[in-house]
Amino acid sequence: MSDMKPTLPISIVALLVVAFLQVPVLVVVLTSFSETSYLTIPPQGWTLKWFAEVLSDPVYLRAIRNSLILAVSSTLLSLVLGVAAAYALFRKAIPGAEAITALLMAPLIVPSVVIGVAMLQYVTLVGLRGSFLVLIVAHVVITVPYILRSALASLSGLDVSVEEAARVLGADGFTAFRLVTLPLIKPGLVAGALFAFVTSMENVPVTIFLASARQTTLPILIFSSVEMGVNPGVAAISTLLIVATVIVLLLAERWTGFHKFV
Amino acid sequence: MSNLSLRNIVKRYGRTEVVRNASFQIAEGEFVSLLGPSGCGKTTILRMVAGLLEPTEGQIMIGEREVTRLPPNKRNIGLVFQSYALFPHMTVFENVAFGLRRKGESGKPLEERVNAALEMVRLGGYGARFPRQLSGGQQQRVSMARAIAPRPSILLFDEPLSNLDAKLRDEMQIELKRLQQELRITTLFVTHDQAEALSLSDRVGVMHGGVIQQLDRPEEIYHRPANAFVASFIGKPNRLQGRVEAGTVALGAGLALRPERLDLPEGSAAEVFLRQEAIRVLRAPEPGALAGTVALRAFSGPQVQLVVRLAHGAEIVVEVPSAEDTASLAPGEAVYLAIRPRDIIVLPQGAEP
Repeated sequence: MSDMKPTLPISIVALLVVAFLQVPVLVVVLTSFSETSYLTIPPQGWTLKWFAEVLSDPVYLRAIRNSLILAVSSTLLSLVLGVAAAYALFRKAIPGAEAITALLMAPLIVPSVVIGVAMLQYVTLVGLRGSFLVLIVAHVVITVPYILRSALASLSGLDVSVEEAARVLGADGFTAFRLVTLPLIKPGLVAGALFAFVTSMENVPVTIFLASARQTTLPILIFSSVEMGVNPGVAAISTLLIVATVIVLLLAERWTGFHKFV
Repeated sequence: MSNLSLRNIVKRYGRTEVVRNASFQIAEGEFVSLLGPSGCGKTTILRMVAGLLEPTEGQIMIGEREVTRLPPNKRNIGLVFQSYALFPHMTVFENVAFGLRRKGESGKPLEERVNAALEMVRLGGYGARFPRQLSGGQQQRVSMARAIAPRPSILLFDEPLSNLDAKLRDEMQIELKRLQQELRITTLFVTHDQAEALSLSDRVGVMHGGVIQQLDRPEEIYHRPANAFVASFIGKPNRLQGRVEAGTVALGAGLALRPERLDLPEGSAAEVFLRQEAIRVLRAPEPGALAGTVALRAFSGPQVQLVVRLAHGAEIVVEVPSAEDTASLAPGEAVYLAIRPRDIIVLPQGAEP
């Protein structure tokens, strides 16, 4: 079956669906170059002034900085915690491993708004409301499932005796993990980390409950700007986000061939 | 290099005893195999020696050192896995260098020892390749080089040849024997292949149900099995029921066998094991030969298998080389089976499976 070529009508339908889904992205990219101060299709004239405006606006710059700090730190933390958890859950005889895995994966299923409200109540209760650390912790909660999932998948594809061979050859547990297991699951981890990074970078529902005014992140800023009317500045920052994402994905694919792990 | 000894080793999972009170010693430079069907506990013993499993009870000594609770990296052993377990992200050179690097070896001496180990398995010049670029046999040789390079005091093999096809397996068997003779490293070899165990080992331990049934030289295992399990597991034996009478085992209908050794009391029930390959097929009677008729004939190339029905009704399977005159015997023809007294194995009846 797999080497059968799709028929022409199916190919056309598939192409139309893909085109339909990509139109909004195209619209945003095109309007970000428009000279008018409102969104028009086709764009009137060509300019980069909206990019210049956005990139010199301190509010936007701070939001970008907040988002990057948040995404990088929560992804790194999730990597450490997620890999450790996956290793323990997969390799060691931990009682209730299935239940623990389900619990850690739950943020994928529980609506983000619920997590946001719950986190808000909790941090208010323990008196940590408004701390940037809380925001990082919340983002770890929602990004850990991506790391855990890809780490578990990578570990299950690995011959256990490879690590045992390293142990017998004189490597202690951590050295065997660092020199043998970790390099072998790295492509899977890169894929998981990318998902985690993007998830943190674009999150609104959890962040909006927890971020104070000074901690506004980029998606929240875009969200609130749109409330006051869409302008080409929003389109410009969105275009930048799209371009950045594409570049990161291409680099990751070249570096690790990670599409096999998604 | 040192000797290995296991003292009263027990391994339990919950209430199941996988290894029951195993005690044995492997002398310095000796090659001992553990042979048995899957699930008999042989791999469990090997993994306990390697430190990958902890025994529930008992002691493991390497030389004068007790290693029972030591982690694998503190035991100085070499282990060759069935799956090769090479590091796929490292070159052949780095695979072999792994153990040496853990011992702090580096630079020129490291390079020399890695290359020497690769030469020893006839893979000199393959250092720059990656494991995936090698055949199964070559990968297993890399895995051997990796195990011997750090000069372990004990070498362990966990079914190392069972992933290879039959022809390659024979070649590797010779390779392995040569390597072990050159290095004279104390070796524990685990396999379910009896030909492999018998031909490679100084001594073979036949295992069943977590118990070492017999640990002895291959010839002893083959010719003087300690119990019915060993007798039926090794070779292709025929089993006959009989009764001890006046120095013979009477099978019924006037048929009797006179074994070289008979330690059973007069009148007791006995079980006779006759190996297919130890039975000579004759067209004419001979003193002591069993009379019967051919019931079935099957040609398999170099050999012809004959099923012979004895006078008292029991059936015996014999193998005749196709080149022999008796290979042309057809069903219904009379036949006589001669067995040398030393090839008649007699054991008490109903003791084991």
